[in-house]
Amino acid sequence: MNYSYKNETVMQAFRLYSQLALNGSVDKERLQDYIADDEVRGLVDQFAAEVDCAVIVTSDELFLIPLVRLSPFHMSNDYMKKTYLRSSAVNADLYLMYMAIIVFIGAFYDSYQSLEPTRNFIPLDEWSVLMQERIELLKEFEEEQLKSYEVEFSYHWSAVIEKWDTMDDIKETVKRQTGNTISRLSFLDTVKRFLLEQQLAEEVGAGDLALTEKTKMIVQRYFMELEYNRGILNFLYNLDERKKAEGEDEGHAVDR
Amino acid sequence: MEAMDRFEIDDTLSDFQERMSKVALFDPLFELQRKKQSDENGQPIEMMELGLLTLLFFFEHKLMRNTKVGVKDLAQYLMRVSEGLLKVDISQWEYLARDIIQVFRPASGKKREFSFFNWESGERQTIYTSILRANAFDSKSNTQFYALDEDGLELVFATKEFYSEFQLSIHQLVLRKQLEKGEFQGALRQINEMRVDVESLQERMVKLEHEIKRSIVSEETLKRYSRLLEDIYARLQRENEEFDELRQFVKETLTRLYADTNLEKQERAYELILRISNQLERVHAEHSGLLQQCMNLKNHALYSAKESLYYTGLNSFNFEQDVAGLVFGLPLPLESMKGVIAPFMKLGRMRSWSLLTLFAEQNMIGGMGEQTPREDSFLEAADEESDLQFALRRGAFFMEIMNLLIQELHEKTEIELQQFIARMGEYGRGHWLDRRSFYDFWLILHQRSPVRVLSMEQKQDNNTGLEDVFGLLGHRVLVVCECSGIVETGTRYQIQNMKLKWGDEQGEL
Repeated sequence: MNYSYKNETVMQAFRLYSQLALNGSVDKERLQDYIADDEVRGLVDQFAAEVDCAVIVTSDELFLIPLVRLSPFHMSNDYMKKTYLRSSAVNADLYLMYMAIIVFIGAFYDSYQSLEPTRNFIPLDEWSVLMQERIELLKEFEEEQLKSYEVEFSYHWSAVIEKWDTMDDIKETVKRQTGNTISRLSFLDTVKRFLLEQQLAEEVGAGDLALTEKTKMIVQRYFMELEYNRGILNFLYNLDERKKAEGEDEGHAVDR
Repeated sequence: MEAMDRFEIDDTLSDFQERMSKVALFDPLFELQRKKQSDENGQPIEMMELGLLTLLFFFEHKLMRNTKVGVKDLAQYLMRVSEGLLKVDISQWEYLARDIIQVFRPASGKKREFSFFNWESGERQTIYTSILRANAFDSKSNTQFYALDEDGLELVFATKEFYSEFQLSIHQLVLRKQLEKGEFQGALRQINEMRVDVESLQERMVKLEHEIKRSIVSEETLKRYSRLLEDIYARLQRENEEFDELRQFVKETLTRLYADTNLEKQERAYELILRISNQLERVHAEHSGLLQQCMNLKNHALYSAKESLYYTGLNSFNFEQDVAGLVFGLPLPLESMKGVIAPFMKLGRMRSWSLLTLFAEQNMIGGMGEQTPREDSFLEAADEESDLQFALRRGAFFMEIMNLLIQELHEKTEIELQQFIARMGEYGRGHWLDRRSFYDFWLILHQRSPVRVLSMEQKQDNNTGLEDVFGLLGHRVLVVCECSGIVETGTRYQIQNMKLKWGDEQGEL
């Protein structure tokens, strides 16, 4: 089919898109442009898809949400390391941070009974305990097995596990568990500051973190949407190289 | 007994969940009851009762609009209540208070869970309640402040025979009765309780708004929310009418009292009723705001419903299991984590530097620690710098004047400019009178009266050096108004006389 858009329509869509790309969201006033005109809407959605993003509408804001996948348009590892971690940070630090964030969100959404978060906040030490549990589970894989994956598929889980294991819970010689001292709590503090800066978490007490509306919105409107959710699971199962290696049918893996 | 028919059986089961959630409210109190504690004489301490006292304590503070209540305050309160009955020292009280608060608000951050079998739907269900919440915290003294959360408020009301649903109407009724009987002191408290109700309604509406934003995904949920909103609207409307009548009633009482000739006896009553009418207006105004908010919510719900055409939600999703479990359980390659985190991040952006930036507005600050010698500077830039230096010098001068003024106002609550200028001579500051800026200072103050500390955004968009000067005021408010006479200073300047005094911060009552 041959579409022809008016120049005005394209520009309007582009203006919306560029604002989304700049801030990640657009407020009420511009929202009308998106909702009212299906052509504009279609164009903005297409623009977003081109950079591996989805556009999500709430009743008074429009959000641009990067899709779950590896994409050159998303923030690069290097940028993340330089901006948010210590200058001596290596990839293992960064992945440990990602892991901490996943554990953090998982701590709030851990029930099939409720679509709402099951907790109001999480203290840093509780977070650290949950991290520890995950690491312990990972350690249950035989080391040789992990190592063999490493050689074959470049998994570096053991480096991440080691990173966590070699840190003390707290550094007893320093007063404040923040900043550059190397301990689990100070590491989580670094992640915390990242979350605060990205407006993914808010501080409700000394060391107590809660989710922001933005995070809840992302989980409920993106992770819990049927289509997107299928995409997420697809992405994850496709990464399971072992299954592919074993020649298993992919279709089965997707359909849980 | 005759067999019940199907409808009757269904009737007994309807709203089972709602009823259970009311039962769940009491759960923490019974959990407290199971805790065994004893005082120094070995006498048992009844924790359940202390739990209820704790709730009442926080309720009282909510009434008084006191937001900074922590464990220490609670411990002190419990100690005073139990004086002579229990032998417990303050440190143990603090320990107990912390214990009680943790039952109401688990330290792990998990909401309180209450699971039960729902006979209506035939499956197990879990209800989450939140009794206390963190209100604020003071990082300096490392103190956490708490306040009653929605369920906590409900629990307090539930111990008083009626549920919060009808709370406001009941308050309105009681208020009317009290006014009729002339119990004005009690009426004032009643209004305060009404205010708490309205505020908690406001909080609920905000929560509802977020909920609607996130979770309208199908026709069915839309129906549920629409019904809820209809109910709320009808309720607000009813309460609003009641408010109108009350207002009328208060007005009548006011006129009646005013007309009463027995002055001495009525004077206090008149004062009280004035305050009542004042407060009532306020609560009423806030309440009317709710009506508006409710209408907006309805619109939101409609929008969301329209959007839901593009969207199908899952019935259940567990991030911990479905995502984290998958990534760490297999485990997947490390990159998978980056992919999963992506939605929470912003889009990566190219940062580049354009040569044209050279011609953009330059922001140079000279003289502040970093000396920038610029010999071949452009004319404009030079001007800007001298401007800036002028502002700095003037700012420092203004600081001196303000300091002296604050010092003077410490001694007297009110001072006239004329007196101030005279005092300046005594302090050896007579030479100030020769400077033009001295007079500018008063003109600025007068123009900005009442003067208070500038807010953050005001600070950003003016760099006159005044922010530091006003910063000296702290929490106080300076009121400047002109008064008769012109001050002759003996120099080539003269200035209108002014009156300077502290204003009250809140302007309340």
